[in-house]
Amino acid sequence: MKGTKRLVCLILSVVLSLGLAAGALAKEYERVVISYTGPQVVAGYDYNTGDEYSKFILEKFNFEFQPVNVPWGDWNSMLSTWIMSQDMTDVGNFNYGDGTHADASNFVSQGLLKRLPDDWKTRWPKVAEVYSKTSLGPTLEELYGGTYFIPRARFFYNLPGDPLANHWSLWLRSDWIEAVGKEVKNHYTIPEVLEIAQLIKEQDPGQVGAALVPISMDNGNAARFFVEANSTYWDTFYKGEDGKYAWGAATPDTLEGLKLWYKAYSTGILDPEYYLLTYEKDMEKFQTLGTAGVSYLGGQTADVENYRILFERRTGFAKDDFLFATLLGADGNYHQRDLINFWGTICFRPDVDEAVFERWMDLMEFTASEEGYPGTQMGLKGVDWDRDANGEIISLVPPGTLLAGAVGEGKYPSLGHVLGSVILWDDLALDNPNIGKQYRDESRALYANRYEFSTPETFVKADWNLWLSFTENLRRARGIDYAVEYSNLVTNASSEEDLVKRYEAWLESQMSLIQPVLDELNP
Amino acid sequence: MNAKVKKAETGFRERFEMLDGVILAFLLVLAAIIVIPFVNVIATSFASQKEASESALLLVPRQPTIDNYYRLFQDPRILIGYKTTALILLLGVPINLILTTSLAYGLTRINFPGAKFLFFAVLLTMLFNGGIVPMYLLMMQLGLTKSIWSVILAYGVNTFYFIVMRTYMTTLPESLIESAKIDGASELQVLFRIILPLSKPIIATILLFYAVDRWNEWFNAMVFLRRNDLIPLQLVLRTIVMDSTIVNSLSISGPRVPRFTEGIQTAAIIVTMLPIMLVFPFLQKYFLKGIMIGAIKA
Amino acid sequence: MTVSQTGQRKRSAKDFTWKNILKHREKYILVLPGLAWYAVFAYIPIFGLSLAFKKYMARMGLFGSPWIGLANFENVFADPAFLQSIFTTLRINAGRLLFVFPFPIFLALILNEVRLGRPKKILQSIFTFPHFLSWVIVASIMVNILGQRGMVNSLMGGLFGAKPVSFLGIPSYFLPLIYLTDIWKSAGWSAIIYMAAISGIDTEQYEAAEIDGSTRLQRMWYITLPGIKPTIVVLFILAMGYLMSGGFDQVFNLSNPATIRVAETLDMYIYRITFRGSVDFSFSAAVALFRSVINMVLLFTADRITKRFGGSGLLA
Repeated sequence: MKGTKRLVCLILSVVLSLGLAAGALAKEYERVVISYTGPQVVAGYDYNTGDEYSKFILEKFNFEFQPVNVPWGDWNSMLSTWIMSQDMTDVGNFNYGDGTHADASNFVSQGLLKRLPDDWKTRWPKVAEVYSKTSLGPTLEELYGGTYFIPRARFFYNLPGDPLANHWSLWLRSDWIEAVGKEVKNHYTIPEVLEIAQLIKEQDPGQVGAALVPISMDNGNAARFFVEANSTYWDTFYKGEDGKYAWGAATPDTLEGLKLWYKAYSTGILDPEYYLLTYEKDMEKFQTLGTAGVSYLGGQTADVENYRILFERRTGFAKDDFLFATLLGADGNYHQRDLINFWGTICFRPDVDEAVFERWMDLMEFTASEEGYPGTQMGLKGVDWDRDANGEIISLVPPGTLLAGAVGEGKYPSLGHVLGSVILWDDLALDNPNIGKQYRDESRALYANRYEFSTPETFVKADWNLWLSFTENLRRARGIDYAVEYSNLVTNASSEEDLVKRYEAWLESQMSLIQPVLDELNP
Repeated sequence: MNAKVKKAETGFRERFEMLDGVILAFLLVLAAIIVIPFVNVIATSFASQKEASESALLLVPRQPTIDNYYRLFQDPRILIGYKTTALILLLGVPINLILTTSLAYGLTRINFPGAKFLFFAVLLTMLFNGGIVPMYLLMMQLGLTKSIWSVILAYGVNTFYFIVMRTYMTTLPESLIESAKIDGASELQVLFRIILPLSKPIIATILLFYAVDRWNEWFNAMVFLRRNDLIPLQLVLRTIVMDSTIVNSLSISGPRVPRFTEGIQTAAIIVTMLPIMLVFPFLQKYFLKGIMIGAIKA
Repeated sequence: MTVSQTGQRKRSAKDFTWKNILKHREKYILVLPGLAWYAVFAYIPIFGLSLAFKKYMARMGLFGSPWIGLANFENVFADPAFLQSIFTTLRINAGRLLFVFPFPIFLALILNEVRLGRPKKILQSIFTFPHFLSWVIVASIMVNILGQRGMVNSLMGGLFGAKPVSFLGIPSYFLPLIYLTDIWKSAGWSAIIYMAAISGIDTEQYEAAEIDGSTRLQRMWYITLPGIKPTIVVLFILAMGYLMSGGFDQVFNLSNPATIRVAETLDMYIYRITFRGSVDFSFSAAVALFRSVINMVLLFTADRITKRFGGSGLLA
């Protein structure tokens, strides 16, 4: 009898505590309307009735969603216009950068954005944890004396390192490299690539004929390839060994990169009209036409398999003929400045309704958690993905299923960095079973070798002192379009001596912009 | 009338000689220079990416495909775009025309106090404008943001068109107006009975210009509307094309299916042009002078 | 016009007496809607130009923001590329006035002489086609035609064995390219205004001239051209007022790093400076004000000169 009583008590208390726990988990939300601005909003798409994923999110957090799309090219100016007019949406995705920092600090000093409550990190611990890894977030918090922006992290669970490496990679034709007798590997220096390109031009291993383009790059990618990859500070200022700031354009590394560029241009291994290429025509020649030997383009984990599939489908060459590799400078080192682990920052209007603010924070907390974050890219748990006994993510959809994608193409057009995402896709891509494991491993290796082939001097951390400066002089100096300027020197030069002459004259002509900045930075 | 037509016809046959030949030849060459690239645009819109980029100047796709159009129309935004643009046209163009015509006629009659000053004030707006922020603040004060009326009212009178119309009206014979006024007609009656019928060519022209401007409108809508269910066609097309171009250069993560941008762009241009080209012949008769000058008046 | 009939009437017409204003009340009613629109949607925002002398503080509003004198202008002028871009803009647009402006007039005149109805209509439609192509598309067509592997080079190579020339990458070819493509794209569309003006010419003049036995060239010269002269003059003066602006899409899309030195106009300069962020409304206002003042000076100079040479000018 006593035993039964005890048992009933036990059962009752278990049921009770379960009920309490469940109640605590599933908060009773009262319905709110949330407006949001961002370029990743699918224009014209009704998120409220759209697809199962958006319905799941909107039901779970009980709100009506009013998203506003801003076209990419107008993102900064539109959002700033609305903020400056004190008429922004409840939530905004602000494009933080060294160029827009002036705007941001202006918004903060005028009280045009919400200052997050001081206890937000304890109330939304997961968001705070992501935030702590973005390096920009804490830096700004210290500067502003409070939190106004929550950067969205490129990586959280799979952060490759600090500073963060970029994904931009060499695209190479491994079948052609083999045919001209060179080694197939996952890293090359610029001179090595030029040598391979020269051999491809001479031997034309693919029998392409007149349409052959050994190196296919548009202007921006050519500048990245020849100058950025060789000269860490090719387009900015830097603090030299003597502790004084200097101008990166005037370094020997930059001139060396220009000489390599001129060599490739004048010998015809670089597309002779590379500067006319727009709309990813360089990519087209490699991936769609199969007439290019080398390109320098994106290599995100999410894409390394996808790009190869498209390559095979369009050109008829084998997937494996498409090789990704890391590009190293002539000195054998990988050159880059910290990519900084964020892309886009979340901010709120200053008078945002408390319930709306909390709801969005709850939503971000959910998408940052292990429970919610696979969904932002893989859809619904239990339908499209799940976790196995070891906690590993497993896919429940057939290979090749397009989960995110344009309306009419993807299963869930609402998947994207809109509905609460604070961790971007670069991260989950490394664990996403919908991408072949060999490709994810390849991507990890590409990230790893960027750290391996670099020194703290060639692959550097962010210089926050410079990044956060925004004097008028700096603003003007930041307006220099280095890729265009360098390209102008290369295309107009008649010989290497002429190039050097033009380069020196150009350096001289820019001093009226540069000297005032140097004077400011070196008081 | 019959005799006159006959005379004109014989006159026509008589004089079809050097001048006509030279003019026609010149215009045909000019037309060819325009048509060939244009055919290229049409061909590109019906071509695959591979074919378009392989040939130097594609004129007839070997394997025509409607893939680009399919992609364009598959997007539900296109319907929203057509709907919104139609609304802007239907509400906007009549307002444009009424404002412009009445103002243009009113300011041709500049013998009233303050007329020159007013004309000057209008002229200045062509040179000076305050930029987007003051305009936005104004629309906000008026409570018009997020409403279609912000887009309609932000573009009321195009000063350039106003001046062109006014110039045309000043060339109309003054005597007609004066005699009507002597007969006791009011200004409005003069406008409707004399000026408007005589101004058909310029009204048709300005109507066309306004319609095309409205059709191409996107910036104001982007700034003021801020709604996901009210997007003009041009803004939709812009975002479709932008999606596939800028995104990569900003190195943002996400699924990227590289698209045949030029194919979609050219398809979008054809789709955008068609309605205007269909309306064009109806307006054309007003600003294209009759062939046999002598015969018309009779 | 009536204004100049007698000095007395002229004076009385301008008198701001109630009687006089009442007499012209119909005209006021006619212009009221248009002027009301200008007052609200053009003149209120125009005060935003005061931002050129202010630092915009959203909390204080347009009018409350603090004055900072000419600091914004000092910043604008500190960049040598700014002055260079003004020079480039004036150079490109002056050439436009010289080479591009007359073409639609010419086109309208000879189109008017085509005496076959249907071909005339079809030809005119064709000439308006390119207006609807964006410059992005025109630029890509130009690459197809003028690129090293394009039509022109293939022809030249085939016929004369010439080496391929990169027409689009040579700075000295840039201006002709701008003018030719501008004519190609816009002449037909711009001709519509002149066609409309021609349609308004009193046909009796032609009949009288025909009876007098004039030739068609004579009628073109002595009737049609004078008939559209007011339109030409007005459009010319207005074009003068646009010497500092316009043409961004064209120059932006047709230029490239190889030709940027001769191509960077004021609009492109602003685009470059502001693209990476910082939406400085005061800076934009300063540039806009500067541009507007220069445009205004040019416009009124042109208007004055026209009047001096016996034209009627804008205020006809």
